[in-house]
Amino acid sequence: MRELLNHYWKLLRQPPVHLSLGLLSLGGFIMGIIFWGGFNTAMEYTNTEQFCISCHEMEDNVMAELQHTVHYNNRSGVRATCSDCHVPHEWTNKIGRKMEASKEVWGHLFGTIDTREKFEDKRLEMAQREWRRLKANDSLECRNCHAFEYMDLSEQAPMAQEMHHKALDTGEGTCIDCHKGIAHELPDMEDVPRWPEGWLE
Amino acid sequence: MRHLSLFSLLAALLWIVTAVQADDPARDLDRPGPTPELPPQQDRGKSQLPANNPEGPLVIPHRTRGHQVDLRHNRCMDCHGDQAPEEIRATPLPSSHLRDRDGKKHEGMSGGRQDCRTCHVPDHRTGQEAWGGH
Repeated sequence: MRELLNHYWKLLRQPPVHLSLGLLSLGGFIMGIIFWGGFNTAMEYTNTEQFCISCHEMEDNVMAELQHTVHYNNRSGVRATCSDCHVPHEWTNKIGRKMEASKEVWGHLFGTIDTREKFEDKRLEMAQREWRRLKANDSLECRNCHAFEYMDLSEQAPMAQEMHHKALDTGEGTCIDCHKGIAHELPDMEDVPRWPEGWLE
Repeated sequence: MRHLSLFSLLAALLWIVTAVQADDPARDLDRPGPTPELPPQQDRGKSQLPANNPEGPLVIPHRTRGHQVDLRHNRCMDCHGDQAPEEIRATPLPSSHLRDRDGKKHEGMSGGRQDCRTCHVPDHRTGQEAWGGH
């Protein structure tokens, strides 16, 4: 075994005998493009809705629920797709999330939520995981589209204006603190605070 | 001759049917009353109660699209429940809603009242100050 490794190590350290420098550098370059392009294309494919709802767990539960909400169906016809909210847009974090998702493949293979009943039992746990994630990154995925800078508060309902002013003034609270259950149905919220704690009397 | 007897039979039937209907106290129950013609000022203004029914349930002065009301969660109670922050200034749940139809008092809202929109309907003309018609 050791000899075999030594043999290949020596081979790697030798200059090429038959291949030209041009072929090696140009070939390496082209192979690099193909590899990198292929890798990213494959990763982008896993970001499509088509891929997400290829599992019936997603199609029958979360996708069906999304279709009633404003993030799927609205007057202007702009909509969000799964990855807009559930996958970070920035590359490094995206890779991190994709690695975490390998656990979801495991869940799919072993049928962790393969019936509506199992899904309902896990709903709170799964929702809390997403709320925690959005709380930790200051609702980054919301803010990718909904930016305070471009929000005309005067166009909003007066109560919404008041709340958003409060959020801007105090700098406390983030979107997900109040806006839970906007794209999927809520679990039993018995023990979940519905408003940021200590924010309102 | 045959035609005449058939005709008179039909006429008699028609007479009986109209006579029976005229006696029916529930005759107009399903028919909507005429829409009241309000002066424009009043029509566009705040109407806290449904025009035809001053003792009816309050109308909802805001949008309710996507507000989840089911076994898991009642979104209305986020603002109108007893846990709701006062700053929201939502109409609180009256104590009558803690009682069920037999008058028995419950810890929270009585089960039969969970589906708020069975009685309360959204009316976007109301609540202009707080909600601006949203």
